[in-house]
Amino acid sequence: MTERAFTLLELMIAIAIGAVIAGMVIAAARMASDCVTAGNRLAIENQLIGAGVLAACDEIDSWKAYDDPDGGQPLRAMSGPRGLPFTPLAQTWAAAGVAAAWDGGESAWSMHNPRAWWRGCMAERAGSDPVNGFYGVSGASVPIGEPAPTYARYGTPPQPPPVLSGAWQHDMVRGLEPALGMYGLIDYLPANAIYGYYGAPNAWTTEGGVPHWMTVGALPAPQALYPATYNDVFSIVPRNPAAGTGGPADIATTVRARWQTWEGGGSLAANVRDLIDRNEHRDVLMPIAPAHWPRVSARIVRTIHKAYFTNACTVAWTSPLTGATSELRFTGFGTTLRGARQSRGLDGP
Amino acid sequence: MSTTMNAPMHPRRGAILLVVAGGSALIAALAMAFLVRMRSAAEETRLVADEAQARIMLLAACSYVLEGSRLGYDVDPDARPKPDGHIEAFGWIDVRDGAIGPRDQIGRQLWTAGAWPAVGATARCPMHAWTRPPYAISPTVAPNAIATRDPSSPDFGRPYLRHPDPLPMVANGWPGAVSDAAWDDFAAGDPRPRGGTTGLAWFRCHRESPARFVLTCGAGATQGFRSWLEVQAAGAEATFADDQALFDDLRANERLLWYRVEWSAAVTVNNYHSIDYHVGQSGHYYLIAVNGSLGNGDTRSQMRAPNPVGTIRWVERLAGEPAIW
Repeated sequence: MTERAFTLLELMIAIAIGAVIAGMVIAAARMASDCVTAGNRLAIENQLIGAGVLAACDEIDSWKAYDDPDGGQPLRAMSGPRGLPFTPLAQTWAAAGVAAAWDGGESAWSMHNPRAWWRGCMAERAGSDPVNGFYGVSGASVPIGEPAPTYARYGTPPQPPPVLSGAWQHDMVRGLEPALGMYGLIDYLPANAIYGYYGAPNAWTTEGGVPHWMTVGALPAPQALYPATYNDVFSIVPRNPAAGTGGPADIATTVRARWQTWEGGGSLAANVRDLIDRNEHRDVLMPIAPAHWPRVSARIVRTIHKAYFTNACTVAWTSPLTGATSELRFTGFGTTLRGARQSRGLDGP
Repeated sequence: MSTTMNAPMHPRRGAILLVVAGGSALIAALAMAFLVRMRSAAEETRLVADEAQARIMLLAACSYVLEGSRLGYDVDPDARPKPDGHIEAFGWIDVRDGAIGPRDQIGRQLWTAGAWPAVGATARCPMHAWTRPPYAISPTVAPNAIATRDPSSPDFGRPYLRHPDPLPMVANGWPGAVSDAAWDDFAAGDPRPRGGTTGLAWFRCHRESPARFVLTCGAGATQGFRSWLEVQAAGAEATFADDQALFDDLRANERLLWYRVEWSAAVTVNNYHSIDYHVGQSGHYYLIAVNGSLGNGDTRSQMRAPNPVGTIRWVERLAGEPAIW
């Protein structure tokens, strides 16, 4: 039997073919490996984006960015005589100086009950001339405890005596603003509320005593919700506001502030920027994470504008490779401020 | 006994086998890892989708509470005049006198104790889409479009009213003899579930007190049945293949959210303005209606007052499963 061996030529051809095959295998393996790596990266990114969406949804209901039952509750403090959005009503209502206690019962504002009716003339505004009569109080009532209106130039018209029927609605509206701020005021009052109440005549009221103007909206007149929020946005400050907005004193002012969004105002962009800077809560997910993971943050800002409550959520992620940031924006519907306060037992006596 | 001698294997064949097997194993491992990762990612995405689906149910449940305060109690509006046939209610708490609603135009209560919509009762609402909803209108924008392409056509430029406008999804015979049966079909709709919409989401609405409701928002396939006992009571075992284990498994994989909400009859109100503010003419006023076309420099449409059946006063997410839902 003759022993068969490779010739040099065969060996060279075999090595060449083997090298080509090995190269192809290595390339295929590298591509497969790259696919797995890319898949892993995308999966991690997808997972973190999903976590960001879930975190934003959770925040819509939990309100932990504003009041964390596990710690961090600066919005429960009093700021002088004024409360903050999470101050217990028992604490702040007394400071409002009104007689009737807050009534959160489901029948409290029932339409059939005259005590819930607003009494006054919505057309009157600060400084207007009551040539057609004393609308501010005619047909209305002066709540017991409030001073009688003055009529220096016009003579005193016939007045109904002070009655209690107008006092309840007066007390509810008057008590809420110092208790909770504007966002809380609007959240707690029913949708048909008129933001104004009879008060002692002052620089903002017409002679004759129009209902007291509250600082809701731009017009110095009693307002319904839509016009009161037509040009303006009211918001609520998170418990850890962005740097520069200061401490609780500033928060007390901020939760009573309005941001004008009137395009003709000339400062729309600056106002909106300021609104977001002061009121947006930013939460970076997993601040300690592998360097090759995307950086993900969930943000939320709660506002009232044009009669709508809005929870504007943003989930943003930054690629560790390119540095490019992408954002997913959506609005969510869930627990309201009053719901969040009730779950914390802040509205009880 | 015979034996067969196998030819001795050439050593190169074994080497090739090892290389091929090793390469295949490597590729298979990579493919498997990739598939497992993708499967995991898909399941994580499903959590987000379920959360969104459940939250959509919160919106649906609130809409149900709002509309149920006034609508949905018609008996036979064609045959019986109001208030016996066409019934409109006046709120969960009647705006006329504060009594527990819903009650009809002359004050008769529209609920019986123990059954929805009585206080203490629960409505179960699976949210699949109907094949055709009641009174369905075709999305045809212009059913009587004027012919404008062919000037030689006798219809060119002529506004013929050949079809109803809007166009019902059920052909009713118009303009010939309109069919009563077709009208009934049009009015009733086709309640068969539309493919691909079943088993996704549902909500339950429990009336806890006159104006407060516990809403359960579910993303999953139990159709809102709370327990197997409830399935049996409804005679719906076949829906779950007569298999309680299947039902329990579906329940275990559902996303459930519980909320308490309060309804209010209050809606956006009209607003008055002093013209003084706008043109310096004191003592003159105008009224801006909630659905007026213009007011305060802004167009107002029904979009600005989307709450003719009341509003949801507040919403509270419940920390855990309530005793009754």
